Amino acid sequence: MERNELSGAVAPTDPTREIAIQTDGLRKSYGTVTAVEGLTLTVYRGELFALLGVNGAGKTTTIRMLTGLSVPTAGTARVAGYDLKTELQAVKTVSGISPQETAVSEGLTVRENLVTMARIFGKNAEEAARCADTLIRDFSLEEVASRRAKLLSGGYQRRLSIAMALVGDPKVLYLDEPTLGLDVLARRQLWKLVEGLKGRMTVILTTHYLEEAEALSDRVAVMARGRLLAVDTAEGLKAATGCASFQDAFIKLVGEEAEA
Amino acid sequence: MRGLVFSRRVAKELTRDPLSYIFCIAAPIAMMLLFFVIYQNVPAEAQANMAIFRPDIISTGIAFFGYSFVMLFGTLLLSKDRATAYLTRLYASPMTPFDFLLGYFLPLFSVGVIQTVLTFAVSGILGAIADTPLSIVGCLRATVALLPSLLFFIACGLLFGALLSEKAAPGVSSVIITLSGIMGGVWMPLDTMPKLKQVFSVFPFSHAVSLARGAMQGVADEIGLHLAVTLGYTVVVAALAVYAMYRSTRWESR
Repeated sequence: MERNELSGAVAPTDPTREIAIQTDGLRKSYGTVTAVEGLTLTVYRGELFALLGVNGAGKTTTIRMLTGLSVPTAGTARVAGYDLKTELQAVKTVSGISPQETAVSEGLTVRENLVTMARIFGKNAEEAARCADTLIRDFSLEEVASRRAKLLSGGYQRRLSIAMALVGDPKVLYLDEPTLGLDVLARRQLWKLVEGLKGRMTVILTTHYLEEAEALSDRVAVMARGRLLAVDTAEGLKAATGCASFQDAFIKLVGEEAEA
Repeated sequence: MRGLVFSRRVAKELTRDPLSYIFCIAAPIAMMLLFFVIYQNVPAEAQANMAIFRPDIISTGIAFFGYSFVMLFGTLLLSKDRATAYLTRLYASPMTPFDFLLGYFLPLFSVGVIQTVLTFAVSGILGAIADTPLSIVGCLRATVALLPSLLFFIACGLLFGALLSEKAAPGVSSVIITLSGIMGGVWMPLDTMPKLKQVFSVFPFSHAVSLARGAMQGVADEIGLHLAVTLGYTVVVAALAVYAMYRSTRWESR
């Protein structure tokens, strides 16, 4: 089980695998409040990597830093080989983000939303139209393709929001609580879509749903109060904590931090 | 390029909101018609004292006042975008602060120009009916003279939209709309209230209206002063708007 430098030894990176994200001592403070502390982490190419933690754990702040929405107070990070500090524009071109809240332009149709984002990511009109067609098909948005985004159901809006994150053919995709507020069926549909992305790109998934992280992720990072507590597979975390269920393992890890 | 793509998105959002047509197109035309009816119903001997309502004079004031609604829509659009996660997505995209600026500016500028053309077209028809025809050259001069005003109001819209919340932005815009109508002397002859005119002249509104009216009539009285005050305010507010937009797209999110 990999632990961060505040909690113990940092696990060595696997030299046989290509690195998608590498952070070293990443920290974010707002005045006297530290949202993320000394985050040292390696995510490999093609991995579906889950960031787990209770509210205020620092998951969203970590994503905000890695996507250039928030400037780290200290530490360094490389995304798809680009330095976050000195090559931010390049980092943005290889990243896609689906924020926590549904992020669509409400007055535009599904197709227009996709085409607009594709053009913003540098595709010409023809490529953008082709890209929109492909995503509409992949995300089963055909029947609502000409409908304005504000008229879509929550499930469709979330699907569109994730599809919009893919228009730039990102090397790293950030899904910040993609199934929050969705019903069971819509959530399962999204799980299928996210599973379909596995191996095609590196996916960083934050979620409150433990079963979601366990079912979808190759590896899971557990965070609490801005600190990285552990990184391993779901099975590895269960074994390391001696718990039979993933939920117990999570509670044990986060509970230990809360008591510390 | 990205700025142009984004401007198309902003234009679609604007043109698909029915309120845009009511405030930016229908309202100036309705005001022109209203003042025309008032002017037509004034006894002939009193019309000289009510010259402000003559189509060729009131049209420049209405065109100026119409820009305050362009400001309102800029403010609403930007503050609403800021309140949603859509801008968060765009902040994480390769868009630059200039792209954002261009994206919001171009559609608002286009609406302002269309509004001016429509206002003068309607005024031309009403002027012909009232036997006070508008000259095409005068309209063109007035359109150019109104450009700083349009830029001023767009800058105000972007400034308020970048700084204020979705709830606060319409309130502040309403104050500016009211002040521009009253202080600009759009439908009120400020010359009959010299003390008030002196106080109002500290602000750009009356200068901007006088500049446009002078251009329409081909009168160059104090044109330098009116131009200097109007441009001065425009430059200052535009600089603040650019700074606020840059801060909003780059720094605020940090």
